[in-house]
Amino acid sequence: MNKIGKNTKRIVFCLVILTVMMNLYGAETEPGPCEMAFFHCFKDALRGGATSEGLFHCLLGYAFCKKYIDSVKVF
Amino acid sequence: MKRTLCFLLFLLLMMFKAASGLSSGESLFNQKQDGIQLEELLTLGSLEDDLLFQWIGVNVDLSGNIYVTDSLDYSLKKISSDGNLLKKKGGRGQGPGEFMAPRLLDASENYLYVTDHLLSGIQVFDKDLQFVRRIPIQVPISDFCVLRDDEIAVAPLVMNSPSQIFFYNAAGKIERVLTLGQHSADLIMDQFSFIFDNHKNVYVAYTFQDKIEKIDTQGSRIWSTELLGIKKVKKEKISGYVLPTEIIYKDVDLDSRGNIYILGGSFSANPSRDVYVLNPEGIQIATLTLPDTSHCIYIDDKDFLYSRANAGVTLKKYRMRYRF
Repeated sequence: MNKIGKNTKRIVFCLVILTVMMNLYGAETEPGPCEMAFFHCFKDALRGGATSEGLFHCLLGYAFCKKYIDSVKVF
Repeated sequence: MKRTLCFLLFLLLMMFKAASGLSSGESLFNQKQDGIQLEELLTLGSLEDDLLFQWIGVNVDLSGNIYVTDSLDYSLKKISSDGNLLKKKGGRGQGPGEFMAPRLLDASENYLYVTDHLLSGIQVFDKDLQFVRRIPIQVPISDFCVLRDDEIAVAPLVMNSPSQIFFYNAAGKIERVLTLGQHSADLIMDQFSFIFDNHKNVYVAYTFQDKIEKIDTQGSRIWSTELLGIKKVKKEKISGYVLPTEIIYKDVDLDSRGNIYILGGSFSANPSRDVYVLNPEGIQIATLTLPDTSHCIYIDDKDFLYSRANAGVTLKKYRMRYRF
């Protein structure tokens, strides 16, 4: 009985660590479609000579993508 | 032993929550008793026809004609109240009446106003979709609202300045600025959707903050409320910029009673489907759930609700049956 108790405690300890890690770092590490789109948009903007206009354009696109695409879940 | 098992079960539940990517502020049990029922009246566009490809902005006139911007075929469309395409204008280009990426749509009694993601300013069309003029507005527009033909309220995307609404005249000159609050340090955290009531009070729903506000004409806050208890949203550093990755509120509109409808985003129990209904005093009176996810909601003068289905291929019209 004591052995079972010890093992359970070990499992619980491992689960606690795992849960804390997952909550801290998040389960999803893949960037979403809008994050990727912003990344590429900004890269293109830098190539074309980084301007605040270029950044605004990418930010506006990002916010739109978050509203429009993220709710679709097709990508 | 029993206590350990209970604790184990609790931990498993926590792990499931973490794995499903829910944030700490989200509640699984925030669905309120529905006070409004939706009755579907009209479905426009389907995967089998080419009426709509990816509609974005919608507006409805007093006769029930429906106007939409369609991003995938660069057009502005006029559709009859029974769902027939009456007219289509636009085409890809940067000339008068053409679009590169048509987006938001609003209307006055006689004119339609359309923004374009890739072109500056606002294009004006008559209700027959004839191009009238372009209002030269240089700031990137994240939302706008036509109060009169000579008074267009614009929420610009700006950095390092507080949330503001600019009021432009028909010539594109700023007549007045309404400052809503202090700006936050992070990019686009202050972005918002807004709508004016008949008394020119403005209702503001912040995209990345759990904050709904009613502001009077002088910029004084009448009330401010949070509906979901979200203290912070996830952020990611992309290309050196810290951006929020979860949307809290997507859109806001009003019905003829002055009730406020707010479309929730990622944190809602039914993401992009839950619509929170507040009375003009900011008290939540109902929650309704759309059958499909949507990027926006629109309520016409007769209190019919319009929203999206099929990822933008379909526009649906609903009658709202109030139960309060």
